[in-house]
Amino acid sequence: MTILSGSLAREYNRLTPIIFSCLPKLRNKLLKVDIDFKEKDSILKVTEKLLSRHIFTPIVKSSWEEKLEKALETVVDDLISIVEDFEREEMGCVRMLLEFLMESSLYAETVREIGRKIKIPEIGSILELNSGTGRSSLELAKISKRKVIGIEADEKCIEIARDYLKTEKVNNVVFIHGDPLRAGRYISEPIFAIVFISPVTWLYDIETLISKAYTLLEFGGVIYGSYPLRERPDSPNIIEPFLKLFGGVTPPDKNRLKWLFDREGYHKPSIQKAGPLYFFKASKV
Amino acid sequence: MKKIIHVYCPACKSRVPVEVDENILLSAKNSPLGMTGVVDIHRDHALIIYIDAHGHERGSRVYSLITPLETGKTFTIPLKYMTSLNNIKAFKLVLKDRDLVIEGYKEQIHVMIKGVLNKVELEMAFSKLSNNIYEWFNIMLKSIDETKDKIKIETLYKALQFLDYFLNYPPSESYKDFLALILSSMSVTYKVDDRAVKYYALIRNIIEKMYPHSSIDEIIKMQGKPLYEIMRYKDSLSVRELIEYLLALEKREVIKFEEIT
Repeated sequence: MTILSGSLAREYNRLTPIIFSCLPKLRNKLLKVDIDFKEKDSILKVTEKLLSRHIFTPIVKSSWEEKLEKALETVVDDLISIVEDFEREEMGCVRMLLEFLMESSLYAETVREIGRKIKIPEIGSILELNSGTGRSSLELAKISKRKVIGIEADEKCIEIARDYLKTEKVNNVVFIHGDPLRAGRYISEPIFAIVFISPVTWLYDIETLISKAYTLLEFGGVIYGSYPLRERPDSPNIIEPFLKLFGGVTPPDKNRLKWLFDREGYHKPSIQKAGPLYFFKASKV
Repeated sequence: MKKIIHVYCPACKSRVPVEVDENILLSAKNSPLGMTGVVDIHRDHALIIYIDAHGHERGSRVYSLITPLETGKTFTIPLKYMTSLNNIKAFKLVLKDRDLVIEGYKEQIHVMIKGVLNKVELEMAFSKLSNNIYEWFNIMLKSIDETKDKIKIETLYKALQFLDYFLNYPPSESYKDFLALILSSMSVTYKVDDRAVKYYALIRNIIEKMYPHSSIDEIIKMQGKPLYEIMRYKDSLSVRELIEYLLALEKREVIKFEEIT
């Protein structure tokens, strides 16, 4: 069963060449600058592997795609400051990159498609782990009409999300500042759907999140997520070098994810590729 | 009985008319020094005319808008400024720490709401009373208490204009921060982070759609100046939008508020 419609999934394919076009700049910059950090060698190794591929670069780009390219170039130019920010466990300017991605129409439409598929009892609530600047929680609340709880570790992201909440006058969303991996501390209502699709999730260890979600979910509940998985263990995802700049971990491959769903006891897991991302869903029965 | 006196403003190099009414005379009579300062706000400065209980001028002084107010004095906001307020009829603020009294009357008032918080005493009279009014009054009192060392006559007047406009709307806690920022706006500035501005370009359209009368270009141009400079000619609605916009920029680390020392 598909998670996203074919046309929406194809939209994600357009991201791959844009990200690919920025990889040589990232690699050159890393080789040039005198900076040492944990993942530097890993990024260089991964970019070398990725650059051996041939990816067609589109001639016509939408204005949003042009902005995305510009955003990635800004990240490359700003590499030293970003690494320093994340070493101090601060999101800094990357918070605005996150907001840019979450406020895109592609992201909002993705959330709405997922939201339309979530059918939960009236007493149930939806939990979003890593709610970032709030767009997914807001769209889920508007579509599902259920209470949505967004948990996010970055305090400023929560403040921004609350501003959107106030501006859009949505009253069935609560944003909580806290550790998503300790979400159980902040919720008391039955959770019938857990969503973790914001780009913040891509910086987390997906295995821990999936395992945590199982303990928080009611029987009959469902999880939806997205992650830049590897196609095979030795085939890096094109987003991986950028995520590692922001402190992200090496992602597992899709077979490992399937195995993980089985291990945790999830029922009927499905995984769908959409450009550089993988969307997945599984239920607890 | 009202009388008009003409006072020379050395900064403007011209004579300005100042209206002396019964409230000013009464204020001078009640003041320990036997006189009150009438504040006339000019473009980038304020002329303070000292009036005694007989309505005679006892000297004047020009204050730059960032000069601290002299302690041990009573200052009166003239009627011409008070008449622009629709809902507030009178106010009297006593800052005991600074030994300062600032007051203004649209008419002779005998009953006012009074609130005391720490060393701040605030009395206000309104055209109409509602449940909202008491909540707004408390918000104002708390904001004054928070910023009592930074309040200037101009910023207090700006805050009163703001309060006067929003009195018709339901109050919320965020207005306390708005009022506090207005009250201290002569002592607060901000610095723009050039690095963050590059990232802001990605979301500029989204943010400036929420705050349609605000733009990062204006914010960059005015950085380093007191906040009051940016908000002084704006109406209350625009001041609220400006503050919300500045707070939105602060949350995104595009600007950082700083105190003017």
